[in-house]
Amino acid sequence: MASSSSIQEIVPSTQEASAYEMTGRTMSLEEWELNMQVENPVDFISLAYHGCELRDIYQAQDLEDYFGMLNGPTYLSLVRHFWVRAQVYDRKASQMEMEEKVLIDPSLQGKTREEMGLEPFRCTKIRSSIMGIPVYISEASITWVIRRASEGKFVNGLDNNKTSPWNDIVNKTMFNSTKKESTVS
Amino acid sequence: MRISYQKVVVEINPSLDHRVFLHFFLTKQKENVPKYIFRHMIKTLKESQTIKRTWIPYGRLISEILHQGGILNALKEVNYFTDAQLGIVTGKIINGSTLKHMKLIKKEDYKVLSTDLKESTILSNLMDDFPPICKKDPIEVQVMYMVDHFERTDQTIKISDIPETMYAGALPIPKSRKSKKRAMTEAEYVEGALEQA
Repeated sequence: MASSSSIQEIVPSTQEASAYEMTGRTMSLEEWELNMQVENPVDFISLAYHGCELRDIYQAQDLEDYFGMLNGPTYLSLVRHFWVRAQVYDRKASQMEMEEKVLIDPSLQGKTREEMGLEPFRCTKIRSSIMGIPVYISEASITWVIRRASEGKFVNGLDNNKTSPWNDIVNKTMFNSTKKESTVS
Repeated sequence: MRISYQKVVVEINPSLDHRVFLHFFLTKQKENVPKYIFRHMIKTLKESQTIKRTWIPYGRLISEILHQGGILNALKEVNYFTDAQLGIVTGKIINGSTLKHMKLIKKEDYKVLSTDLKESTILSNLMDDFPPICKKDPIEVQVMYMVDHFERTDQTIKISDIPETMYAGALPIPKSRKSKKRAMTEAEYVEGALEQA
């Protein structure tokens, strides 16, 4: 495990914020109502021995460190505490933050974020706090923890309509057919 | 050995987004996995807030981010959480035994290997140097170890740092998503915390 001094520069957990911050709950769910998906570590050697070779697929995605990380402790209480106080801080939220400032002090109208005393918006984050310590998770945090660059193809928000050109492509790869199969037999 | 998929009938109805994701995986075209993970985390969080979705994704990944971001060290400084109160679990390993349970391989074909991964036994990251003694050890043993440790490292072990019992064995494994049919009640949550403490 790397030392926290170098990580602190990369993982945006406690920087860029006040030293103490008590975030309120952002959902009506209570901690005890939440279930957690704890990722399953994968023993690729055992799977390969028993005829299920998956290593090359995950190696092609540079995910060896990610799977290595999975076999470790999950802190249920801590993550639940984090989750019920978490909120998404994106460009829209940062804009609302500026509007609130102007509502309180109309003379700030037209000023920059810095002039309003706000941090510049850098990237979308999930913001929360644990025992008053601000905690942020961003894409960069995930990149750092799984030791894997944030690069490669990303396709999201496709309509599930049958006319999409993607249908034939993915059905060919998954089922070796241009028709969508409902079962593998 | 080849896995016989003939016996398996799997209902497949993933969205087109998911199928495109799998297409890139199977054709070994590099995908932006951190971005997919982060987007899914955001989507699930918003669903928890708007439609009371009760599942938190990526429990282990979020735990590791909290650890590497220095949160556990900060909690350690103020002695806020004990190891037990953190509610520590570890994920069940997917291996040849999983294939056997899924009936993808015959029971007699399954073999335990010397290289098999074992579930993590790391109790937590709260204590960097876990002393190999506990309060159940004879007091003389505890004192001897503490004196010896001080002589060797010039550092003292506080009484409060010595665990009640010596940890041994694997961490508990949470129930799978399928087997967990109902949410915990408040009473069960509080009871669980008291038992752990």
